[in-house]
Amino acid sequence: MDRRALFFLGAAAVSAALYPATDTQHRWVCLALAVVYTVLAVGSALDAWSRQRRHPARPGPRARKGQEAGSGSS
Amino acid sequence: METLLLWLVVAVALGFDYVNGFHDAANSIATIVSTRVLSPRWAVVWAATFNFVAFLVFGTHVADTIAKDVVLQDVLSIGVIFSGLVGAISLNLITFFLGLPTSSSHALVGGMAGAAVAKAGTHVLVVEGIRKIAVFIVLSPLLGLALAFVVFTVVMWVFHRSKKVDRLNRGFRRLQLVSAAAYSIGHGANDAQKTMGIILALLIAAGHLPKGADVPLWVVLAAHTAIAAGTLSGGWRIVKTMGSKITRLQPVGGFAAESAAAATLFFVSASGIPVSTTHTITGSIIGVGTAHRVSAVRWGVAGRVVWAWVLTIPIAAAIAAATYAVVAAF
Repeated sequence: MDRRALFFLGAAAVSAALYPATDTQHRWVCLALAVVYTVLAVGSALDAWSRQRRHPARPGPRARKGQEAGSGSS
Repeated sequence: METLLLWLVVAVALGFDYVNGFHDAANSIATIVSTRVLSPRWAVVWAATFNFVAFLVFGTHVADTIAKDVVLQDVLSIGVIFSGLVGAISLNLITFFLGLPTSSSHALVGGMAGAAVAKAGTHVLVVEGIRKIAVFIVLSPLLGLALAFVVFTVVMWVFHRSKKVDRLNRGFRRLQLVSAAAYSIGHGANDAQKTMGIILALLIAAGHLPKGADVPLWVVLAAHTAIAAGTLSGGWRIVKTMGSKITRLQPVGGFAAESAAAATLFFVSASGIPVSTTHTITGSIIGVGTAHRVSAVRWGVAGRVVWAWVLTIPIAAAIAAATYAVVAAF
């Protein structure tokens, strides 16, 4: 999973976990932050997924060497 | 003798405010210096001016929280407040020389709590008040981070088709002056009020004011003058950490980070919650960094800062408790 999405998911979890400890007057802040970070996590995950689909990961230099060596021997 | 001691501790409190401005000057000006909008000298003048102006914008809710919602007012005495201040100032100076952007506010809360506990035990802590402050230790940077991410993303989305990058950068450099001013107002409003709270508690403890009294105007003016003077003196070690070591900023990023931090500080100051202005701007800078990509944030430095945050309250409390033990012996 995308690292940024994971980071936002963690932030959403922390915001939600603080909800019971917050005074009633300010609980909406925790709730709003949990929702915003969840939306950002979903958005980031979708963004990473669409980027990956448009530009599939190229094989690394080691894999390319292996491929070249393989094609050379055949 | 007691009156002399009282004014001496008022002077120490204003000294703390001065050190706070000196220590946190970096937060106000790091982004405008690192994006070269202003030279360091003019940046501190700019920040100090708006630090001072803050008293015209916000009330004294944060001062009331510090004076009444950290420890029971009955336990407060000149010795307790002096010891709390010594704990907070010592920690500020240590972290300043280590170049760590820690929180002067949490050092103050830790110092007050440590000295009061050393005097009368843990039952003197106002759990509700401390819980509110503790929750916002975590919430304020998260709020700044989310706002900065959203502001930066929206701005980039609006202007992504613009090909005049130089013109755009010039525009945002000008806008950064506005966002830095707004941030400095937020900084002045939240941080200067902590000193007002300390002086208010001191005047109540010494019997110069009745319980539940409001902050006198001279205290408001003295606190804002001290923080502005501290900012004017400026501290450069932390500018480097805040402005470039966490993530590199362009004018648009600086504008987003400062606007987000200013909005967060306006909200908490109006709600009477003392937060760390350092935490808030750090969260906002990280928000801009993550909008680029997660690897744009130097997590090692951010992690070091988080460790300093975690240790601030206990260390300040320990120094304050030790100081109170010495003060009580006399």
